[in-house]
Amino acid sequence: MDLPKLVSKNWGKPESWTLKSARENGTYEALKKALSMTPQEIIEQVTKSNLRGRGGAGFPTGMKWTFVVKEKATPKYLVVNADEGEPGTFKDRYCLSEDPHLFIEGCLIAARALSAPAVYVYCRGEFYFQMSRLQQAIDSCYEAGLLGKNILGQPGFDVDIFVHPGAGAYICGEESALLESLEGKKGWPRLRPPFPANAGLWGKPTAVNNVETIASIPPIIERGGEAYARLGPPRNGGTRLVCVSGHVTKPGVYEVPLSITLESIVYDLCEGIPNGRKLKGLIPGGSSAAVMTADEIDCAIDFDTLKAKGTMAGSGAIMVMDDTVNMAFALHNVVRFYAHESCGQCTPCREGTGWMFRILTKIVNGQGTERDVDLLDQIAKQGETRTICALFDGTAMPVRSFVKKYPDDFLQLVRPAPSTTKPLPLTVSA
Amino acid sequence: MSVASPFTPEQQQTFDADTAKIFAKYPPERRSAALIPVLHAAQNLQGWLAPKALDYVAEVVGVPRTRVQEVVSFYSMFHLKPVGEKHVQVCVNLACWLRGSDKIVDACKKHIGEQQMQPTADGKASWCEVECLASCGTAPAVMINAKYHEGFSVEELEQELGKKQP
Ligand SMILES: Cc1cc2nc3c(=O)[nH]c(=O)nc-3n(C[C@H](O)[C@H](O)[C@H](O)COP(=O)(O)O)c2cc1C
Ligand code: FES
Repeated sequence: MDLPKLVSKNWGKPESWTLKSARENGTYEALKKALSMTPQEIIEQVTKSNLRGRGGAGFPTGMKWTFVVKEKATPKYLVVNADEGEPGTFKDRYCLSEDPHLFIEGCLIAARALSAPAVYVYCRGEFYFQMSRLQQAIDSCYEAGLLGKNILGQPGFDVDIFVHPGAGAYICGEESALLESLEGKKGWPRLRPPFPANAGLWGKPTAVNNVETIASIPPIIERGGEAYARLGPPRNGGTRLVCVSGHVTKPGVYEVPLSITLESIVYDLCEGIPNGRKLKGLIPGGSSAAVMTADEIDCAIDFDTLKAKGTMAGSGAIMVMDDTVNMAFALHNVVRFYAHESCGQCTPCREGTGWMFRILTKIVNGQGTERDVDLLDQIAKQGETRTICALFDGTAMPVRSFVKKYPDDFLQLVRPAPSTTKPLPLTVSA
Repeated sequence: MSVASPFTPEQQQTFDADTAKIFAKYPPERRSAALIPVLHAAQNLQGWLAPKALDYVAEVVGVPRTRVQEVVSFYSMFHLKPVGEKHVQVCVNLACWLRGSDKIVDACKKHIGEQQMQPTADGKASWCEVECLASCGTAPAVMINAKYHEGFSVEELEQELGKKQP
Protein backbone atom coordinates (compact mmCIF):
# COMPACT_ATOMS: atom_id res chain seq x y z
CA MET A 1 0.00 0.00 0.00
CA ASP A 2 1.27 3.45 -0.89
CA LEU A 3 0.67 5.68 2.10
CA PRO A 4 1.69 9.31 2.57
CA LYS A 5 4.44 9.70 5.15
CA LEU A 6 4.74 12.99 6.94
CA VAL A 7 5.89 12.36 10.49
CA SER A 8 7.87 9.18 9.91
CA LYS A 9 9.34 10.08 6.51
CA ASN A 10 12.93 10.22 7.74
CA TRP A 11 12.91 7.25 10.10
CA GLY A 12 15.53 4.70 9.25
CA LYS A 13 17.54 7.03 7.01
CA PRO A 14 21.26 7.05 7.81
CA GLU A 15 22.03 9.23 10.85
CA SER A 16 18.53 10.66 10.57
CA TRP A 17 18.90 12.22 14.02
CA THR A 18 21.76 14.58 13.12
CA LEU A 19 21.31 18.21 12.11
CA LYS A 20 23.27 17.60 8.92
CA SER A 21 20.97 14.85 7.76
CA ALA A 22 17.90 16.81 8.93
CA ARG A 23 18.96 19.73 6.75
CA GLU A 24 19.43 17.40 3.77
CA ASN A 25 15.92 16.11 4.41
CA GLY A 26 14.51 19.62 4.26
CA THR A 27 13.82 20.01 7.96
CA TYR A 28 13.64 23.66 9.18
CA GLU A 29 12.24 24.82 5.83
CA ALA A 30 8.75 24.90 7.35
CA LEU A 31 10.16 26.99 10.19
CA LYS A 32 11.43 29.54 7.70
CA LYS A 33 7.99 29.67 6.15
CA ALA A 34 6.43 30.06 9.63
CA LEU A 35 8.72 33.02 10.30
CA SER A 36 7.11 34.83 7.40
CA MET A 37 3.68 34.25 8.97
CA THR A 38 2.14 35.95 11.99
CA PRO A 39 1.36 33.79 15.04
CA GLN A 40 -2.31 34.23 14.19
CA GLU A 41 -1.76 32.91 10.67
CA ILE A 42 0.04 29.84 12.00
CA ILE A 43 -2.84 29.05 14.34
CA GLU A 44 -5.31 29.51 11.47
CA GLN A 45 -3.47 26.93 9.38
CA VAL A 46 -3.38 24.48 12.28
CA THR A 47 -7.09 25.01 12.86
CA LYS A 48 -7.83 24.42 9.18
CA SER A 49 -5.72 21.27 9.20
CA ASN A 50 -8.20 19.54 11.52
CA LEU A 51 -5.26 18.21 13.49
CA ARG A 52 -6.49 16.49 16.63
CA GLY A 53 -4.29 15.66 19.58
CA ARG A 54 -2.42 12.38 19.19
CA GLY A 55 -1.99 11.86 22.94
CA GLY A 56 -5.36 10.29 23.56
CA ALA A 57 -8.22 12.74 23.81
CA GLY A 58 -8.18 13.91 20.18
CA PHE A 59 -8.75 17.55 21.13
CA PRO A 60 -8.44 19.99 18.18
CA THR A 61 -4.95 21.49 18.44
CA GLY A 62 -5.83 24.81 16.78
CA MET A 63 -8.61 25.38 19.31
CA LYS A 64 -6.32 24.59 22.25
CA TRP A 65 -3.76 27.10 21.01
CA THR A 66 -6.47 29.73 20.53
CA PHE A 67 -7.43 29.37 24.21
CA VAL A 68 -3.81 29.88 25.23
CA VAL A 69 -3.17 33.00 23.16
CA LYS A 70 -6.43 34.59 24.34
CA GLU A 71 -5.08 34.66 27.89
CA LYS A 72 -3.42 37.89 28.98
CA ALA A 73 -0.94 36.42 31.47
CA THR A 74 2.70 35.91 30.42
CA PRO A 75 4.92 34.05 29.92
CA LYS A 76 3.07 31.35 28.06
CA TYR A 77 4.46 27.85 27.97
CA LEU A 78 4.47 24.92 25.62
CA VAL A 79 4.76 21.63 27.49
CA VAL A 80 5.24 18.53 25.39
CA ASN A 81 3.88 15.27 26.67
CA ALA A 82 6.52 12.60 25.99
CA ASP A 83 5.38 10.36 28.81
CA GLU A 84 4.17 7.64 26.42
CA GLY A 85 2.58 5.55 29.15
CA GLU A 86 -0.67 4.29 27.67
CA PRO A 87 -0.21 0.51 27.36
CA GLY A 88 0.30 -0.45 23.73
CA THR A 89 1.75 2.92 22.68
CA PHE A 90 5.30 3.10 21.31
CA LYS A 91 5.48 5.85 18.70
CA ASP A 92 6.63 9.03 20.43
CA ARG A 93 9.89 7.32 21.34
CA TYR A 94 10.70 6.93 17.63
CA CYS A 95 9.72 10.55 16.90
CA LEU A 96 12.36 11.51 19.47
CA SER A 97 15.10 9.06 18.52
CA GLU A 98 14.65 8.85 14.74
CA ASP A 99 13.76 12.42 13.86
CA PRO A 100 14.37 14.76 16.80
CA HIS A 101 14.85 17.72 14.47
CA LEU A 102 11.36 17.46 12.98
CA PHE A 103 10.10 17.47 16.56
CA ILE A 104 12.25 20.48 17.47
CA GLU A 105 11.03 22.28 14.37
CA GLY A 106 7.46 21.59 15.50
CA CYS A 107 8.28 22.97 18.95
CA LEU A 108 9.71 26.14 17.42
CA ILE A 109 6.70 26.76 15.18
CA ALA A 110 4.34 26.08 18.09
CA ALA A 111 6.38 28.37 20.35
CA ARG A 112 6.10 31.13 17.78
CA ALA A 113 2.35 30.60 17.42
CA LEU A 114 1.89 30.71 21.20
CA SER A 115 4.54 33.39 21.86
CA ALA A 116 6.08 30.95 24.33
CA PRO A 117 9.72 31.60 25.24
CA ALA A 118 10.22 28.20 26.84
CA VAL A 119 9.28 24.65 25.91
CA TYR A 120 9.46 21.83 28.45
CA VAL A 121 9.53 18.29 27.13
CA TYR A 122 8.31 15.95 29.86
CA CYS A 123 9.79 12.61 28.93
CA ARG A 124 9.08 9.31 30.62
CA GLY A 125 11.99 8.51 32.93
CA GLU A 126 12.83 5.19 31.29
CA PHE A 127 13.60 6.91 27.97
CA TYR A 128 17.30 7.48 28.76
CA PHE A 129 18.26 6.81 25.17
CA GLN A 130 15.57 9.02 23.64
CA MET A 131 16.33 11.84 26.05
CA SER A 132 20.01 11.77 25.17
CA ARG A 133 19.26 11.77 21.44
CA LEU A 134 16.92 14.70 21.88
CA GLN A 135 19.41 16.58 24.06
CA GLN A 136 22.15 16.08 21.45
CA ALA A 137 19.84 17.46 18.78
CA ILE A 138 18.94 20.41 21.00
CA ASP A 139 22.62 21.13 21.67
CA SER A 140 23.39 21.15 17.96
CA CYS A 141 20.51 23.57 17.39
CA TYR A 142 21.91 26.00 19.95
CA GLU A 143 25.25 25.88 18.13
CA ALA A 144 23.58 26.48 14.77
CA GLY A 145 21.46 29.41 15.95
CA LEU A 146 18.23 27.42 15.73
CA LEU A 147 17.59 27.75 19.46
CA GLY A 148 18.32 30.48 21.96
CA LYS A 149 18.15 34.17 21.12
CA ASN A 150 17.19 35.73 17.76
CA ILE A 151 16.63 32.37 16.09
CA LEU A 152 17.52 32.35 12.37
CA GLY A 153 18.44 36.00 12.75
CA GLN A 154 14.86 36.98 13.57
CA PRO A 155 15.09 39.70 16.24
CA GLY A 156 13.14 38.81 19.36
CA PHE A 157 12.41 35.22 18.35
CA ASP A 158 13.88 33.60 21.46
CA VAL A 159 13.06 30.02 22.40
CA ASP A 160 14.64 27.53 24.78
CA ILE A 161 13.79 23.84 24.92
CA PHE A 162 14.34 21.93 28.15
CA VAL A 163 14.10 18.16 28.62
CA HIS A 164 12.58 17.09 31.93
CA PRO A 165 12.51 13.44 33.04
CA GLY A 166 9.58 11.74 34.75
CA ALA A 167 10.18 8.89 37.16
CA GLY A 168 7.79 6.05 36.45
CA ALA A 169 4.15 6.98 36.96
CA TYR A 170 1.50 6.43 34.28
CA ILE A 171 -0.69 9.13 35.78
CA CYS A 172 1.91 11.75 34.89
CA GLY A 173 0.86 11.36 31.25
CA GLU A 174 -2.44 12.96 32.26
CA GLU A 175 -1.82 16.60 31.46
CA SER A 176 -2.57 18.21 34.82
CA ALA A 177 -0.71 15.49 36.76
CA LEU A 178 2.15 16.06 34.34
CA LEU A 179 2.24 19.74 35.26
CA GLU A 180 2.26 18.89 38.98
CA SER A 181 5.12 16.49 38.36
CA LEU A 182 7.00 19.07 36.32
CA GLU A 183 6.65 21.44 39.25
CA GLY A 184 8.40 18.86 41.42
CA LYS A 185 5.45 17.24 43.14
CA LYS A 186 3.75 13.88 43.18
CA GLY A 187 1.52 13.47 40.14
CA TRP A 188 -1.98 14.20 41.38
CA PRO A 189 -4.31 15.48 38.63
CA ARG A 190 -5.75 18.95 39.17
CA LEU A 191 -9.40 19.84 39.37
CA ARG A 192 -10.62 21.65 36.26
CA PRO A 193 -11.43 24.43 35.59
CA PRO A 194 -9.05 26.14 35.29
CA PHE A 195 -7.70 24.19 32.33
CA PRO A 196 -3.96 24.22 31.60
CA ALA A 197 -4.63 26.55 28.66
CA ASN A 198 -5.85 29.13 31.20
CA ALA A 199 -3.63 28.36 34.16
CA GLY A 200 -1.10 25.58 33.64
CA LEU A 201 2.58 25.39 34.44
CA TRP A 202 3.27 27.66 37.45
CA GLY A 203 -0.20 29.06 36.92
CA LYS A 204 0.63 30.41 33.46
CA PRO A 205 -1.30 29.74 30.22
CA THR A 206 0.09 26.46 28.91
CA ALA A 207 -0.46 24.33 25.85
CA VAL A 208 0.14 20.67 26.67
CA ASN A 209 0.61 18.65 23.48
CA ASN A 210 1.69 15.18 22.61
CA VAL A 211 5.03 14.61 20.80
CA GLU A 212 3.39 13.36 17.61
CA THR A 213 0.97 16.30 17.59
CA ILE A 214 3.96 18.65 17.64
CA ALA A 215 5.84 16.65 14.99
CA SER A 216 2.78 17.03 12.75
CA ILE A 217 3.05 20.83 12.77
CA PRO A 218 5.90 21.27 10.21
CA PRO A 219 4.12 19.17 7.56
CA ILE A 220 0.98 21.26 8.11
CA ILE A 221 2.84 24.55 7.64
CA GLU A 222 4.73 23.14 4.68
CA ARG A 223 1.69 22.05 2.65
CA GLY A 224 -1.00 24.29 4.19
CA GLY A 225 -3.78 23.36 6.59
CA GLU A 226 -6.37 22.51 3.99
CA ALA A 227 -4.13 20.13 2.05
CA TYR A 228 -3.27 18.37 5.32
CA ALA A 229 -6.95 18.11 6.29
CA ARG A 230 -7.74 16.46 2.95
CA LEU A 231 -5.52 13.49 3.79
CA GLY A 232 -8.09 12.35 6.35
CA PRO A 233 -11.87 12.19 6.71
CA PRO A 234 -13.87 15.27 7.80
CA ARG A 235 -12.84 16.76 11.16
CA ASN A 236 -9.92 14.28 11.38
CA GLY A 237 -7.07 15.72 9.39
CA GLY A 238 -3.88 14.15 8.20
CA THR A 239 -2.04 11.00 9.09
CA ARG A 240 -1.28 9.43 12.43
CA LEU A 241 1.11 6.84 13.78
CA VAL A 242 -0.57 3.63 14.85
CA CYS A 243 1.28 1.18 17.07
CA VAL A 244 0.29 -2.40 16.44
CA SER A 245 1.26 -5.07 18.96
CA GLY A 246 0.25 -8.54 20.10
CA HIS A 247 -0.78 -11.32 17.73
CA VAL A 248 0.01 -9.93 14.28
CA THR A 249 2.62 -11.13 11.82
CA LYS A 250 4.29 -7.73 11.55
CA PRO A 251 3.86 -5.60 14.65
CA GLY A 252 5.25 -2.08 14.59
CA VAL A 253 4.53 1.60 14.00
CA TYR A 254 2.70 2.52 10.79
CA GLU A 255 1.85 5.99 9.55
CA VAL A 256 -1.65 5.93 8.11
CA PRO A 257 -4.35 8.40 7.06
CA LEU A 258 -7.22 8.48 9.55
CA SER A 259 -9.55 7.09 6.88
CA ILE A 260 -7.89 3.65 6.85
CA THR A 261 -9.84 0.78 8.44
CA LEU A 262 -8.71 -1.34 11.37
CA GLU A 263 -9.22 -4.37 9.18
CA SER A 264 -6.82 -3.05 6.58
CA ILE A 265 -4.22 -2.26 9.26
CA VAL A 266 -4.39 -5.77 10.70
CA TYR A 267 -4.59 -7.77 7.49
CA ASP A 268 -2.82 -5.61 4.87
CA LEU A 269 -0.16 -3.68 6.77
CA CYS A 270 0.53 -6.18 9.55
CA GLU A 271 -0.12 -9.23 7.37
CA GLY A 272 -2.74 -10.79 9.58
CA ILE A 273 -2.69 -13.18 12.52
CA PRO A 274 0.25 -15.60 12.67
CA ASN A 275 0.28 -19.37 13.21
CA GLY A 276 -2.95 -19.93 11.27
CA ARG A 277 -4.94 -18.44 14.13
CA LYS A 278 -8.03 -16.26 13.94
CA LEU A 279 -8.55 -12.78 15.30
CA LYS A 280 -10.50 -12.80 18.54
CA GLY A 281 -10.54 -9.09 19.24
CA LEU A 282 -8.49 -5.96 19.48
CA ILE A 283 -8.15 -2.84 21.54
CA PRO A 284 -8.05 0.10 19.10
CA GLY A 285 -6.65 3.02 21.10
CA GLY A 286 -4.55 1.91 24.05
CA SER A 287 -5.66 -0.31 26.90
CA SER A 288 -8.07 2.37 28.19
CA ALA A 289 -10.26 1.87 25.11
CA ALA A 290 -13.15 -0.56 24.81
CA VAL A 291 -12.31 -3.87 23.11
CA MET A 292 -13.70 -4.67 19.66
CA THR A 293 -14.62 -8.11 18.35
CA ALA A 294 -13.38 -9.48 15.03
CA ASP A 295 -16.76 -8.59 13.48
CA GLU A 296 -16.51 -4.93 14.39
CA ILE A 297 -13.23 -3.89 12.81
CA ASP A 298 -14.33 -2.97 9.31
CA CYS A 299 -14.39 0.72 10.23
CA ALA A 300 -12.14 3.76 9.98
CA ILE A 301 -9.78 4.66 12.80
CA ASP A 302 -10.74 8.31 13.05
CA PHE A 303 -11.81 9.78 16.40
CA ASP A 304 -15.49 10.20 15.50
CA THR A 305 -16.03 6.75 13.99
CA LEU A 306 -14.47 4.91 16.90
CA LYS A 307 -16.36 7.03 19.40
CA ALA A 308 -19.62 6.19 17.64
CA LYS A 309 -18.64 2.53 17.98
CA GLY A 310 -18.47 2.93 21.76
CA THR A 311 -14.69 2.89 21.96
CA MET A 312 -11.96 5.41 21.21
CA ALA A 313 -9.06 6.15 18.89
CA GLY A 314 -7.02 7.19 21.93
CA SER A 315 -3.28 7.02 21.49
CA GLY A 316 -3.40 4.94 18.31
CA ALA A 317 -2.27 1.76 20.06
CA ILE A 318 -3.84 -1.32 18.52
CA MET A 319 -3.40 -4.45 20.64
CA VAL A 320 -4.40 -7.59 18.80
CA MET A 321 -5.47 -10.87 20.40
CA ASP A 322 -5.94 -14.20 18.65
CA ASP A 323 -8.39 -16.97 19.50
CA THR A 324 -6.04 -18.66 21.97
CA VAL A 325 -6.60 -15.80 24.44
CA ASN A 326 -9.17 -16.07 27.20
CA MET A 327 -10.42 -12.51 27.57
CA ALA A 328 -10.87 -12.79 31.34
CA PHE A 329 -7.11 -13.29 31.64
CA ALA A 330 -6.47 -10.40 29.26
CA LEU A 331 -8.75 -8.13 31.30
CA HIS A 332 -7.05 -9.29 34.49
CA ASN A 333 -3.78 -8.08 33.01
CA VAL A 334 -5.27 -4.76 31.89
CA VAL A 335 -6.95 -4.00 35.22
CA ARG A 336 -3.85 -4.86 37.23
CA PHE A 337 -2.18 -1.97 35.44
CA TYR A 338 -4.83 0.56 36.46
CA ALA A 339 -5.00 -0.73 40.04
CA HIS A 340 -1.23 -0.27 40.21
CA GLU A 341 -1.24 3.16 38.57
CA SER A 342 -4.24 4.82 40.23
CA CYS A 343 -2.78 7.83 42.01
CA GLY A 344 -5.06 7.35 45.00
CA GLN A 345 -6.64 10.80 44.99
CA CYS A 346 -10.27 9.90 44.22
CA THR A 347 -12.04 7.19 46.21
CA PRO A 348 -13.98 5.50 43.36
CA CYS A 349 -10.73 5.02 41.44
CA ARG A 350 -8.42 4.15 44.32
CA GLU A 351 -10.86 1.60 45.73
CA GLY A 352 -12.62 0.58 42.52
CA THR A 353 -9.58 -0.36 40.46
CA GLY A 354 -8.15 -2.47 43.29
CA TRP A 355 -11.51 -4.10 43.98
CA MET A 356 -12.01 -5.02 40.33
CA PHE A 357 -8.50 -6.42 40.19
CA ARG A 358 -9.11 -8.61 43.24
CA ILE A 359 -12.35 -9.90 41.73
CA LEU A 360 -10.61 -10.67 38.43
CA THR A 361 -7.83 -12.44 40.31
CA LYS A 362 -10.47 -14.62 41.95
CA ILE A 363 -12.10 -15.30 38.59
CA VAL A 364 -8.92 -16.29 36.76
CA ASN A 365 -7.96 -18.55 39.68
CA GLY A 366 -11.28 -20.40 39.33
CA GLN A 367 -12.64 -19.04 42.60
CA GLY A 368 -15.14 -16.54 41.24
CA THR A 369 -18.88 -16.79 40.92
CA GLU A 370 -21.29 -15.52 38.29
CA ARG A 371 -22.15 -12.70 40.61
CA ASP A 372 -18.55 -11.51 40.58
CA VAL A 373 -18.81 -10.98 36.85
CA ASP A 374 -21.89 -8.79 37.30
CA LEU A 375 -20.21 -6.96 40.12
CA LEU A 376 -17.34 -5.97 37.83
CA ASP A 377 -19.74 -4.19 35.54
CA GLN A 378 -21.48 -2.48 38.45
CA ILE A 379 -18.27 -1.19 40.02
CA ALA A 380 -17.09 0.12 36.66
CA LYS A 381 -20.42 1.80 35.96
CA GLN A 382 -20.67 3.45 39.37
CA GLY A 383 -17.26 5.06 39.19
CA GLU A 384 -17.48 6.34 35.63
CA THR A 385 -17.22 10.14 35.26
CA ARG A 386 -17.08 10.54 39.07
CA THR A 387 -13.35 11.21 39.32
CA ILE A 388 -11.01 14.15 38.76
CA CYS A 389 -9.24 12.59 35.77
CA ALA A 390 -10.04 9.98 33.15
CA LEU A 391 -7.93 7.13 34.57
CA PHE A 392 -10.95 5.45 36.09
CA ASP A 393 -13.04 5.89 32.92
CA GLY A 394 -10.13 4.30 31.11
CA THR A 395 -10.48 1.28 33.40
CA ALA A 396 -14.25 1.14 33.21
CA MET A 397 -14.23 1.06 29.40
CA PRO A 398 -12.17 -2.12 29.06
CA VAL A 399 -13.95 -3.77 32.02
CA ARG A 400 -17.45 -3.17 30.75
CA SER A 401 -16.65 -4.03 27.14
CA PHE A 402 -14.70 -7.22 27.84
CA VAL A 403 -17.44 -8.54 30.12
CA LYS A 404 -20.18 -7.59 27.69
CA LYS A 405 -18.54 -8.85 24.50
CA TYR A 406 -16.90 -12.04 25.77
CA PRO A 407 -19.25 -13.32 28.53
CA ASP A 408 -18.42 -16.96 27.85
CA ASP A 409 -14.75 -16.44 28.60
CA PHE A 410 -15.71 -15.30 32.09
CA LEU A 411 -18.56 -17.73 32.68
CA GLN A 412 -16.45 -20.77 31.82
CA LEU A 413 -14.15 -19.85 34.72
CA VAL A 414 -16.73 -19.20 37.43
CA ARG A 415 -19.23 -21.16 39.49
CA PRO A 416 -22.91 -20.30 39.15
CA ALA A 417 -24.19 -18.10 41.97
CA PRO A 418 -25.81 -20.14 44.75
CA SER A 419 -29.55 -19.80 44.29
CA THR A 420 -30.36 -19.70 48.01
CA THR A 421 -28.74 -16.38 48.82
CA LYS A 422 -30.00 -13.07 47.54
CA PRO A 423 -27.48 -10.74 45.94
CA LEU A 424 -26.46 -7.90 48.22
CA PRO A 425 -27.40 -4.47 46.90
CA LEU A 426 -24.35 -2.46 46.04
CA THR A 427 -25.76 0.87 47.18
CA VAL A 428 -27.36 1.23 50.57
CA SER A 429 -30.46 3.38 50.66
CA ALA A 430 -30.93 5.48 53.77
CA MET B 1 25.27 23.53 54.25
CA SER B 2 23.98 22.00 57.41
CA VAL B 3 23.31 18.54 55.97
CA ALA B 4 26.30 16.32 55.22
CA SER B 5 26.71 15.10 51.67
CA PRO B 6 26.32 11.34 51.15
CA PHE B 7 28.76 11.36 48.22
CA THR B 8 32.45 10.58 47.79
CA PRO B 9 34.47 13.56 46.50
CA GLU B 10 34.40 12.09 43.00
CA GLN B 11 30.65 11.54 43.09
CA GLN B 12 30.23 15.04 44.46
CA GLN B 13 31.91 16.52 41.41
CA THR B 14 29.55 14.70 39.06
CA PHE B 15 26.56 15.59 41.22
CA ASP B 16 27.48 19.27 41.30
CA ALA B 17 27.98 19.40 37.54
CA ASP B 18 24.69 17.58 36.92
CA THR B 19 22.68 19.73 39.29
CA ALA B 20 24.10 22.97 37.87
CA LYS B 21 22.77 21.92 34.44
CA ILE B 22 19.44 20.92 35.95
CA PHE B 23 18.84 24.14 37.88
CA ALA B 24 19.60 26.19 34.76
CA LYS B 25 16.43 24.82 33.15
CA TYR B 26 13.96 26.48 35.51
CA PRO B 27 13.29 30.09 36.48
CA PRO B 28 15.26 30.82 39.69
CA GLU B 29 12.05 31.25 41.69
CA ARG B 30 10.88 27.78 40.53
CA ARG B 31 13.80 25.82 41.90
CA SER B 32 11.63 23.04 43.32
CA ALA B 33 10.84 21.93 39.75
CA ALA B 34 14.33 20.44 39.80
CA LEU B 35 13.42 17.94 42.53
CA ILE B 36 12.78 14.89 40.36
CA PRO B 37 15.78 15.40 38.03
CA VAL B 38 18.04 15.97 41.05
CA LEU B 39 16.77 12.78 42.67
CA HIS B 40 17.67 10.95 39.44
CA ALA B 41 21.14 12.50 39.56
CA ALA B 42 21.62 11.26 43.12
CA GLN B 43 20.28 7.79 42.40
CA ASN B 44 22.46 7.45 39.29
CA LEU B 45 25.53 7.81 41.49
CA GLN B 46 24.65 5.36 44.24
CA GLY B 47 22.13 3.00 42.65
CA TRP B 48 19.51 3.85 45.23
CA LEU B 49 18.37 6.68 47.48
CA ALA B 50 19.51 6.23 51.07
CA PRO B 51 17.83 8.39 53.75
CA LYS B 52 21.01 10.49 53.92
CA ALA B 53 20.80 11.17 50.20
CA LEU B 54 17.18 12.28 50.58
CA ASP B 55 18.13 14.66 53.42
CA TYR B 56 20.82 16.10 51.21
CA VAL B 57 18.58 16.48 48.13
CA ALA B 58 15.98 18.30 50.25
CA GLU B 59 18.68 20.74 51.31
CA VAL B 60 20.12 21.24 47.82
CA VAL B 61 16.74 21.80 46.17
CA GLY B 62 15.40 23.78 49.08
CA VAL B 63 12.18 21.85 49.71
CA PRO B 64 10.93 20.27 52.94
CA ARG B 65 12.18 16.76 53.66
CA THR B 66 8.56 15.53 53.86
CA ARG B 67 7.99 16.71 50.30
CA VAL B 68 10.98 14.68 49.15
CA GLN B 69 9.56 11.64 50.94
CA GLU B 70 6.18 12.16 49.32
CA VAL B 71 7.76 12.34 45.87
CA VAL B 72 10.14 9.38 46.14
CA SER B 73 7.41 7.14 47.47
CA PHE B 74 5.08 8.13 44.59
CA TYR B 75 7.36 7.37 41.63
CA SER B 76 8.31 3.78 40.88
CA MET B 77 11.76 4.53 39.43
CA PHE B 78 13.12 5.67 42.78
CA HIS B 79 14.63 2.89 44.88
CA LEU B 80 14.50 3.33 48.63
CA LYS B 81 16.44 0.11 49.15
CA PRO B 82 19.51 -1.11 47.25
CA VAL B 83 18.89 -3.11 44.10
CA GLY B 84 21.28 -5.54 42.41
CA GLU B 85 24.16 -4.40 40.21
CA LYS B 86 22.01 -5.64 37.35
CA HIS B 87 18.42 -4.73 38.02
CA VAL B 88 16.14 -6.53 35.57
CA GLN B 89 12.72 -4.98 35.03
CA VAL B 90 10.38 -7.28 33.15
CA CYS B 91 7.39 -5.80 31.38
CA VAL B 92 4.34 -7.95 32.12
CA ASN B 93 1.73 -5.71 30.52
CA LEU B 94 -0.69 -6.98 27.87
CA ALA B 95 1.43 -6.98 24.70
CA CYS B 96 4.43 -8.54 26.44
CA TRP B 97 2.19 -11.05 28.18
CA LEU B 98 0.69 -12.03 24.81
CA ARG B 99 4.23 -12.62 23.60
CA GLY B 100 5.59 -14.67 26.46
CA SER B 101 6.67 -12.44 29.37
CA ASP B 102 5.60 -15.24 31.77
CA LYS B 103 8.62 -17.29 30.69
CA ILE B 104 10.96 -14.43 31.48
CA VAL B 105 9.40 -13.93 34.89
CA ASP B 106 9.85 -17.64 35.61
CA ALA B 107 13.50 -17.46 34.55
CA CYS B 108 14.07 -14.45 36.83
CA LYS B 109 12.59 -16.38 39.72
CA LYS B 110 14.83 -19.32 38.93
CA HIS B 111 18.09 -17.42 38.40
CA ILE B 112 17.68 -14.43 40.71
CA GLY B 113 15.11 -15.35 43.32
CA GLU B 114 11.41 -15.71 44.09
CA GLN B 115 11.16 -12.27 45.65
CA GLN B 116 11.01 -9.13 43.52
CA MET B 117 13.32 -6.25 44.49
CA GLN B 118 15.41 -8.65 46.60
CA PRO B 119 19.06 -8.63 45.46
CA THR B 120 20.94 -11.93 45.33
CA ALA B 121 23.29 -12.64 48.27
CA ASP B 122 26.29 -11.35 46.26
CA GLY B 123 24.37 -8.20 45.32
CA LYS B 124 24.87 -8.89 41.61
CA ALA B 125 21.25 -9.03 40.47
CA SER B 126 17.67 -8.24 41.34
CA TRP B 127 14.47 -8.20 39.35
CA CYS B 128 10.92 -6.91 39.36
CA GLU B 129 7.85 -6.78 37.18
CA VAL B 130 6.99 -3.46 35.56
CA GLU B 131 4.16 -2.13 33.46
CA CYS B 132 4.26 -1.22 29.76
CA LEU B 133 7.70 0.06 28.73
CA ALA B 134 6.48 1.43 25.39
CA SER B 135 8.15 -1.42 23.48
CA CYS B 136 5.03 -3.41 22.75
CA GLY B 137 5.86 -3.86 19.07
CA THR B 138 9.11 -5.57 20.00
CA ALA B 139 7.68 -7.55 22.92
CA PRO B 140 8.67 -9.05 25.23
CA ALA B 141 10.64 -6.12 26.59
CA VAL B 142 12.85 -5.81 29.64
CA MET B 143 15.02 -3.06 30.97
CA ILE B 144 18.35 -3.87 32.58
CA ASN B 145 19.54 -0.81 34.46
CA ALA B 146 19.19 2.07 31.97
CA LYS B 147 19.09 -0.06 28.84
CA TYR B 148 16.16 -1.51 26.91
CA HIS B 149 16.33 -5.08 25.64
CA GLU B 150 13.59 -5.73 23.13
CA GLY B 151 12.41 -9.00 21.66
CA PHE B 152 13.98 -10.50 24.77
CA SER B 153 14.36 -14.21 25.52
CA VAL B 154 15.21 -16.50 28.40
CA GLU B 155 18.56 -17.30 26.70
CA GLU B 156 19.50 -13.63 26.63
CA LEU B 157 18.60 -13.30 30.29
CA GLU B 158 20.86 -16.23 31.11
CA GLN B 159 23.70 -14.63 29.15
CA GLU B 160 23.19 -11.31 30.89
CA LEU B 161 23.33 -13.02 34.24
CA GLY B 162 26.42 -15.02 33.27
CA LYS B 163 24.54 -18.31 33.57
CA LYS B 164 25.32 -19.24 30.01
CA GLN B 165 28.10 -18.40 27.57
CA PRO B 166 27.00 -16.35 24.55
C1 LIG C 1 -4.52 8.62 32.72
C2 LIG C 1 -4.08 9.36 31.50
C3 LIG C 1 -2.83 9.12 30.93
C4 LIG C 1 -2.39 9.82 29.81
N1 LIG C 1 -1.15 9.54 29.29
C5 LIG C 1 -0.72 10.24 28.21
C6 LIG C 1 0.59 10.00 27.66
O1 LIG C 1 1.34 9.15 28.16
N2 LIG C 1 0.99 10.74 26.59
C7 LIG C 1 0.18 11.70 26.03
O2 LIG C 1 0.59 12.34 25.09
N3 LIG C 1 -1.06 11.94 26.52
C8 LIG C 1 -1.52 11.24 27.59
N4 LIG C 1 -2.76 11.51 28.10
C9 LIG C 1 -3.56 12.61 27.48
C10 LIG C 1 -3.19 13.96 28.07
O3 LIG C 1 -3.95 14.18 29.25
C11 LIG C 1 -3.48 15.10 27.12
O4 LIG C 1 -4.78 14.97 26.65
C12 LIG C 1 -2.54 15.19 25.94
O5 LIG C 1 -1.21 15.21 26.34
C13 LIG C 1 -2.84 16.44 25.17
O6 LIG C 1 -2.02 16.51 24.01
P1 LIG C 1 -2.68 16.39 22.54
O7 LIG C 1 -3.87 17.29 22.51
O8 LIG C 1 -1.58 16.84 21.65
O9 LIG C 1 -3.04 14.96 22.38
C14 LIG C 1 -3.23 10.79 29.22
C15 LIG C 1 -4.50 11.02 29.78
C16 LIG C 1 -4.92 10.32 30.89
C17 LIG C 1 -6.29 10.60 31.43
S1 FES D 1 3.33 -4.22 26.96
FE1 FES D 1 5.43 -4.55 27.35
S2 FES D 1 6.30 -2.84 26.44
FE2 FES D 1 4.21 -2.40 26.18
